Amino acid sequence: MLVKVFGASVQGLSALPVTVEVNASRGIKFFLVGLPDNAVKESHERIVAAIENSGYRFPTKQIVVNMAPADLRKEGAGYDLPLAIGILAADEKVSLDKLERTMMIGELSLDGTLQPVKGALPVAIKAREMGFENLIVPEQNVREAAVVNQLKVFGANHMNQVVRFLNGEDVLQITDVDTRAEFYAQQSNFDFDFADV
Amino acid sequence: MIGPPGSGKSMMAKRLPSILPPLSLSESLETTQIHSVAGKLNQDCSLIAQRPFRSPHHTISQVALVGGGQNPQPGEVSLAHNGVLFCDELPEFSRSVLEVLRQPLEDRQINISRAKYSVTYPCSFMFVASMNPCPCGYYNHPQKACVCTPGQIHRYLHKISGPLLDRIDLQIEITPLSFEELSRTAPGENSATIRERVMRARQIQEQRYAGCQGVHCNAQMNSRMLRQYAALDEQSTEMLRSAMTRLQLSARAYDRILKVARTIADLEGCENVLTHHLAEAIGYRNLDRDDWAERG
Repeated sequence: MLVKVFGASVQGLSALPVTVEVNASRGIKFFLVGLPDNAVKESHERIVAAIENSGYRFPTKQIVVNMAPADLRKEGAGYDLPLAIGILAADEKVSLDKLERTMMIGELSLDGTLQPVKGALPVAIKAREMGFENLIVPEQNVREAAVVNQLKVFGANHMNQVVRFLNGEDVLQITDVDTRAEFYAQQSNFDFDFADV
Repeated sequence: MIGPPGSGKSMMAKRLPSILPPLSLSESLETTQIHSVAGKLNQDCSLIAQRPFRSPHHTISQVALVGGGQNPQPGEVSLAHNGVLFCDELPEFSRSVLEVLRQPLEDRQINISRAKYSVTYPCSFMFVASMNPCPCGYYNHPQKACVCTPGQIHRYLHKISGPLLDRIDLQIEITPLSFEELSRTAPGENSATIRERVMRARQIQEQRYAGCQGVHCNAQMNSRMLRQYAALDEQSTEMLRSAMTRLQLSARAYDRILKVARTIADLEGCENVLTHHLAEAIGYRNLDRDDWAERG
């Protein structure tokens, strides 16, 4: 079965959408194509461990993963989450309802918890620009991504939460920050004052 | 800022963000994006509300300062975007590191090119530096004697290259305070009052440049606008001419003196640039005089 999951790559100050296509067919091999760098290639081992330790089984099928656009170098560990979700979805463990309206980034630990990534804000800006409805980021990044309005930003601690959310079994808390109020409140809050000089 | 140890250079620099006009939402978004890409955002903060203040240690490398690396990351100049970059002990920075500052200071953005791709990071920052006048630190001190030879002093000051110095608009000498002045309990002017004055001047500028696209403050004026908005009367022109020849100032310094004079006039609420505004602006180019070290 072929599924598509959306991630993003940060180039300079802007983000580019990256489509993670996963196909599962008969066989037992794993291929990762689409110019991944070392951190992304290594994600295979992380994802296998994370999936097994989260109570799912890594599918015993031939898995082909393509990350498009193929000429863009994929760096960093932010693709772990879309890859893992894509593999589970190809194994029909995740429903496809929300997948195409959702962008996600996140690094996985071996036990399936999500680790923070760099550049969550540019990704959120891009997600809104592309018309995505949801953005899933690690809990630690949620406040910086939530700056962007007209986008539902969800923070997750564990891969399980993301799977249950996509399956509609559980809801994730939408993080909504009143950025303006917070921004203006902190604006004249200084530690130092010229009166002391 | 140039002055002996303990005269309050760093203290003043640290308080600088508190008198700058507050960040606008769009400026804050730019700065937050850079910090987000660099992974330097605090977990519980969303938008950066205050102008950043970066003070890298003087052992910093070129790449760390302007950005770069295998996957180009923003450097200190970009992290200081819309804020202040403070270089304490300027002559201690390695020469090559200081020279890379020249282009970003002028262009307000930095282009990092690698074989496969190039990225541009904005870096519109205010550059503030402090230094001692000589290796021992007490040259020109009212009480303490300096133990450096003229050669040493000369070498020390010449660690800052001419082109970099040319880009520093305000060069001020700081003298230490006496005990009486220090122990006086009356507090100085607080930041909020100063900030209000700065914002008033900014407002005047906003109004003046309302018709010009992309120009919001005096620093962004081009030379044509400079002639229009910072026109000098005859007496001032004469003063500037003599200052230019005496101090052998560059064309860039000429433009910058006019901009500083315009700003001083705005702070006072004057419509035209007057002679004393210009005199003050020229006075801020202390170090441009070749004989700073010999003057005594």
